[in-house]
Amino acid sequence: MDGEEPVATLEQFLAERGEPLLHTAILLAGSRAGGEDLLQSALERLVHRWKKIEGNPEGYVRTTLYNLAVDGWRRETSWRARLGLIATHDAVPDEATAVDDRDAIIRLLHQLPPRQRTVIVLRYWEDLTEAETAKAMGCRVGTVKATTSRALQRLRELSAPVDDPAPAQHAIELSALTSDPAGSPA
Amino acid sequence: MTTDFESDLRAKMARITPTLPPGLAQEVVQSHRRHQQSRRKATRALMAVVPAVALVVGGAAVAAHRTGSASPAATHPAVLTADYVKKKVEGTLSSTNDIVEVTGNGFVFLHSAGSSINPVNYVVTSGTYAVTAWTDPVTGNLQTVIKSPTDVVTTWTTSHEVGEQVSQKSVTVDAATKTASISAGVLSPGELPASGYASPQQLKEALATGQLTITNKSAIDGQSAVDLHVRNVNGSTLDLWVNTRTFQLVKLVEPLTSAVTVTDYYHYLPRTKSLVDQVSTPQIPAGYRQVGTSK
Repeated sequence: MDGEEPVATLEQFLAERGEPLLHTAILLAGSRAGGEDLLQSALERLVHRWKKIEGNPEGYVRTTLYNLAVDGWRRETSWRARLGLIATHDAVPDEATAVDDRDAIIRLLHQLPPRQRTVIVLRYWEDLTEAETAKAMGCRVGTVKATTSRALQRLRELSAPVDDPAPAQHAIELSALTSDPAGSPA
Repeated sequence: MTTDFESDLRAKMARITPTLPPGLAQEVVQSHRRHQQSRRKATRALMAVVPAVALVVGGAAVAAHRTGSASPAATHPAVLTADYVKKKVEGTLSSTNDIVEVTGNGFVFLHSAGSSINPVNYVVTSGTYAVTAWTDPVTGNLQTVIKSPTDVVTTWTTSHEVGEQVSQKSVTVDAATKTASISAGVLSPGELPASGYASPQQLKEALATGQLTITNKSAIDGQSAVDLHVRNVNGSTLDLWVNTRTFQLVKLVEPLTSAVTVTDYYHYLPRTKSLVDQVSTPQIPAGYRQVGTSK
């Protein structure tokens, strides 16, 4: 990439691989807007390391997506997330979004902690083996197995909303502000 | 062995239809550049002692802003146009050193919050909570207080630039559970430090890309203000109520859905030592239990 116009190169890359990457990012983030922001953040890292990456950058972007997702990545703080200045509109699903059953899985995944969500996406969407998933997440195979088991169990418990595309406005008590469900190890 | 549930999971994940937002490549490169510039700007801000900004419109210096309060503006046109107000607002957005207090009632948090180092997921229903945030624009330090009928949660967030990276630390105190949690870490590249208000950069982007009109005039907190209505390209709107003397933002209204509107009131408090300390120094009451510490 060295020496090429960054925007043109990125545009070409996104034209070829953008949608599959966004698909993964949406699942990893647990929301469409979150997925767009997650992908953008990974692409910014790509631009940051522009000159050090040789060949196809997709592997680097995917690895970055996984790492950011495992870390419980959030681009926005609570206050920024409230502002539509940065696209957050599926943070508050409108009626059309809420009844779109295709996105039910996104809302379901959103209810998992980041590590559990990541392991589900890597195993069942990216089709990585347990060993590959462990390498991507920087943990042991045993951890992947245990996390997958817990995540599947949790998804089964939550599976009712998948068939019931009601708005995913699951109110959580304010005390949850001080818990750390997203960041705690799965 | 793959169960039916796992097969169903795969099928549902495959049904998502991703659509790349237009101009993503451009936004990525611009955001990367902005991030680099903001880090340089943050460093300069920390080194500034008595910043003063001279705003030049039409070749004449029309306003100067000093620490502590906004100076009275010079002569303004008899009729304030959207373009004139826009230029004035852009000039004041990043020039204040006052502590910015933002208050709102009936806030709606329907999404996740927190940064990569403080990943707190929560959803709060409408109308129950009152939020106040104080931001020190010079240091970026932030204190937020979220009140519900049964709880008060206070968070202090501080950010520091270390070489190429920005580290951030948050201390959260929950009155209901009598707990305190501390998290600290390094922000991901491109990730912005926590902010208690719409950042000057965000607002400037909205002003730069949106269609602007002056739609109303009223008194906000006893101040004469005009409503700079912003219609974004995606159809969303934003109303920036601006003090007609100082051109500081005094109220921000953003409809998120047909049923939910966010309203923030902005106040600019003199930069006293006690207020700076209040914003920057976490106060953990005696007897509170520490939980969820992370690095």
